[in-house]
Formats: sequence, structure tokens, C-alpha cells
Amino acid sequence: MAESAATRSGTRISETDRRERWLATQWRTWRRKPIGLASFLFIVLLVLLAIFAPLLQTHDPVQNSLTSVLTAPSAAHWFGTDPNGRDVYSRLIAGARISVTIGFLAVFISVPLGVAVGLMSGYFGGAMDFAIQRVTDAIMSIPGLILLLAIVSVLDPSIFSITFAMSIFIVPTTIRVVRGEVLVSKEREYVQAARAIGAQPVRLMTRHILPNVMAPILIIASVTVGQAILIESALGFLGFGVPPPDPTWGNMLSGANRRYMAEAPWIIAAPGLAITLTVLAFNMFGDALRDVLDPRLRGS
Amino acid sequence: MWRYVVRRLVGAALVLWLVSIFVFVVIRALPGDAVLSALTEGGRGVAVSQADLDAAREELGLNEPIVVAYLQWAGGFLVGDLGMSLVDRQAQVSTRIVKSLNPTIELAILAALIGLPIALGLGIVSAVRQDTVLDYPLRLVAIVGISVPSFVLATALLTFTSITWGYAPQFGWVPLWEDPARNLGLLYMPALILAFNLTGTVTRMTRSAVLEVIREDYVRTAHSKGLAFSVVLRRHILRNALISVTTLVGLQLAFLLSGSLILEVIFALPGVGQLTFTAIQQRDYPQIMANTMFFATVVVAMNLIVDLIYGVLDPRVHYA
Repeated sequence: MAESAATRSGTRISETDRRERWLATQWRTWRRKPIGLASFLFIVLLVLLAIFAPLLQTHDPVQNSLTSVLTAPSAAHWFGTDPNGRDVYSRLIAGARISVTIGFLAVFISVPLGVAVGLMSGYFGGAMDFAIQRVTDAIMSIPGLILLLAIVSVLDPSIFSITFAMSIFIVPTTIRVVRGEVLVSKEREYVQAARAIGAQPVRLMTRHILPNVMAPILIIASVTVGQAILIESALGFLGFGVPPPDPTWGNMLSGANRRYMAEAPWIIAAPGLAITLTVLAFNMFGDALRDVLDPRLRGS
Repeated sequence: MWRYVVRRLVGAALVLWLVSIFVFVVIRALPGDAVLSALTEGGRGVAVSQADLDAAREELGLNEPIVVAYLQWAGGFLVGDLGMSLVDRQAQVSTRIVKSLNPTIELAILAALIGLPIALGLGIVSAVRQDTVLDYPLRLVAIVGISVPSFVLATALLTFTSITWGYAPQFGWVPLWEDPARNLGLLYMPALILAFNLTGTVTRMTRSAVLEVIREDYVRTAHSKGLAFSVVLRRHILRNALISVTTLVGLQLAFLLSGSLILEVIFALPGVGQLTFTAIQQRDYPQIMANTMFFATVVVAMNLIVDLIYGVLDPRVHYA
């Protein structure tokens, strides 16, 4: 007891104290961001759905059933059935698993890679920076969907090839953002000071520059997961996504289903709403994150 | 100024050169005898003659080492010869692109004409009335605009109209000069959808550009010397804010051309997006390569134009 009181009264703050303060600050800030908080909860819910998908499905998502073709939503089939008699709710949940996997996987692979390259490009500058920047210019000038369609037409579509193709154009965006931030923060006094006392480039980059560029990285990561899910569903919609019968939100909206949309709108409404709400949640969470992490931009 | 223009032109050429290498390598990374699969799976479903196969291999440069093949292709590109289509063996891929430009360009222009004025208006109002009951719904509309995928919106609109009015919009294409009314009848729905997405992006850009300027000292000075709000808005805020909006909008317009791909597919418009999509389905590799280069060129050119316009609009910018 005495010891802890001594620590508190002193200048050193214990680890638990610091964590409590951090949590309290977070809570104070996020409480004023109800939309951001709601988006965050939606994203958590989505991830849980994806993880526990097999447990939450009421039917086999790929099992055709000729006795229940295009039935309206009911107690047995919450969101109705599709032209093959498959349960739309179960397919939606199974599709969430594929979409969420691709979205997060693409970001977890590309963003760290982009951060590493962007840090080095911005920090060292020179010929390497020039070369990296021209390559990112080149890739970023090819419209994303067209680049992806071209790559997926060469590779056979699967979760991995789609994730890989997506990374090719997430990495340059991340490089660009990180590099810009590094250029600004490497001239700051505390970085100069650290350099003056002999800190090596790796330490400077990871301990002094990186923490200050975390905010834009987190924001871009959040928005990019949403974008990746959006583009995956666009690929699925165009017939270049994860191949059927595996359900994805994109392929649930495409092909045969569209012919029945007038008589059975539920087969279109469920995946359409799922994609829209998911992208919206990631975008709104990104906006809230920006307001919270970067007070200079608050409200803009 | 001219030195800057020349330097930027060289930079743009360098970027396009890298794009061409990148695209070439990606397409050449085809697994197995891609030509055969291209010709058999490629939608034609007909027996392939040995002559066809040889011609296609030759066209793709698969008989040459990749460097030689690239040089041949690049040499052709420089003189405007991008090769023949694998699917339509009588047609130059570049001719097919030119033929399909009309619907794409008209769709983009229409979407810009609808979307931009609305977006600028909403963005300005949203910024000027920041954090008021007017701002919140506008921000919501903008973020919904960037979040709703065009194919979801298209599907929803088509479902809605066919259920409520039993009305199915017509698909296909008639050139503007042949039958203007029918042309607009075919284009208005995809144009509105494209405009909705554009409005979302541009409203957000305009709002933050205006907010940035509104906090400047010279704006406060203008207010405090007693100028009417409308005068401050017009002469001090917008004149400065719209400069950065112009740059961002320019790039958006370049991406509008490719952003219409899905809409062209849904509404059966024979534009460049549709052509690209069909080429990818049919594995028409020379066509895919040409179209990718086409879209990249548009983006790079737009980038260049926008940067030059920026200098004209903002006298503070000096080209070094």
C-alpha cells in the first residue's frame, strides 16, 4: 500500500495507472463520438459473425433444395431462399466470413509492408526514394478495379489470389501516406535531438517517427478494410470473385439472382445491405478515428 | 514555366513506361499454355485451328523471350500499333477502344454535370454551417455517397422501379446525335448513380477545403472590417478553397471513366469499361493490355493537366 502510494505521489506513474488513464481518455473521447462507436461495435459484430459463422448458420449455405425455391422470409428461412433453394441468411453469414477474411488479410499483409517501405523511402530519400515513388505512381495510375480484374483473370480466383492482387494496390497508397508523414516528422526537433545523441536510423524510425505517423496509418487501415471488402464484392458481382457455389456478398448479387429480383427482392436486399453497411461502418469509423487521433483535423 | 512542363512530361512518360512494364509482366505471367485456354475458354467455344493458335501465339509474343516481346510491343505502342484483338481477329485493339469511347465519355460528362454543382453546393453549405443541424445530414449523405457501391445502388434502383412501377428501364445504346431523347433515356439511370458516388467524394473534399480556408487570418480580417458574409464567402473563402477542390476533382474525373465499368456492364452500354470487361472474360490479352494502358494514360494526363491548371489558378505557385 505504502509503496503504491509512494509511486503515485512520485513522478513515476505505474503501468496499471497509465493504462487506466489511457482507457479513461479513450472512453471520454469516444463517448462524444456515438457514430464512431456504433461503427466500431458493428465491425466487432461482423468479425464475430465471421469467426463463428458455422455455428450461426441455420442451413448449409451451399446445399441446393428444390422444395424451397425462392421462398419469402419466414421462421424457417429468416431472409428467404434463393433460386437454388439455398438459405439466404446462412449464405450471408458464410459470405461475411469470406469478405471479412479477404478485407482484413489484405490489410494485415499490405499495410505493414507499405509502412516499412514508406518509412525507408521518406527517411532515406535519394535515388531509392525516387525509384519507389515512380513505381507507386505507376501502380496508382492504373484504376484499382481494372488492375484487379486483369490480375485475377491471369491467376485463378481464390481467397489468396484475390488478397494478393488487392495488396498490389493497397501497398502503394500506404507508402504514399506514410512517406508524406515521415517527411514532415523527420525534421521535428525531438527527432533531431535523438539523432544528435547518436540514435541509429532504425531506432529513430521505429521509436521516434513511427509513433507519430500511427494516426494516419490506423485511419488508412480502417478505410482500406472497407474498400477491400467493397472491391471483393465488386469482383464477385462481376463473376471474378471466389468461385461459386461458395457464397460471397458480391456473387449473391450477381448472375442468376438478378433475374429474380422483382419477384424475390430479399435475395438482393440482404447482401446489398450487408455490403453497404459494412463499407459505411469502416468509413465512419475511419472518420471518427481521424477526429480522435488528430485534433488538428477535428470536425473537418 | 516551360521547364516545369517539360519536366512533368518526362515524368509522365516515365510513369507510363513503368505501367507498361508492370502490365506486360503481369499478363505474361500466364500459367500454362494460356493461348489455348484463351481461345477455347474465351467465349468462342469453337474448335481452334492450328493456324489460329499460331497467330495468337505470335500476337502475344509467346514465341519470343519476354524482353524481345516487350520491345516489340512497346515499339508498336510508340507508333500507335497495339496489335490485333484475339477475339475479333480483323480489328486493331486501338480501333476497338476508339469505337467504344462515346458511351463512356458521355456517361462521365453527364455524371459530372449532375454531380459537381450539387456537390460543391452541399460541401460549401456543410462547411459554412459546420456542426449545425444542417451539417450533420449533409455529412451523412456524403459518407453514404462514398459507401454505397454503384452496383448495389443500381441493383436496388432496378428492383425498386420494376416492383413499384412494373417498369424496366431499357438497356443498350443509341448515339446522342441519332436519337437524343432515347440516348438520355438509356443513360439517365447509370449517370445518376455515378453522380451519386461522385457527389459523396466531392462534397467531402469541398467541405474540408472550405473549412481549412475559413480559419485563415485573412478571412477573420475580412469579416472584421465589416464585409458582408456573401462577399467574404465569394471573394475570400471560395476563391482560395476552390483551387484545391479543382485539383482533387480533376483526378476524380479521370477515375470516373474507369469507375463506370460496372455500370456499363449492368446497363449494357458498349463503352470502354464494357470492352475491358469482355476482354478480360474472353482473355483477349492484347486488348486487356491496351485498355489498361488507356486508363493509366488518362489518369497520368489528368494529373498533369490539373497540376498545370493549379498554377494558373493560384498565382502563389511558382514552378521551379
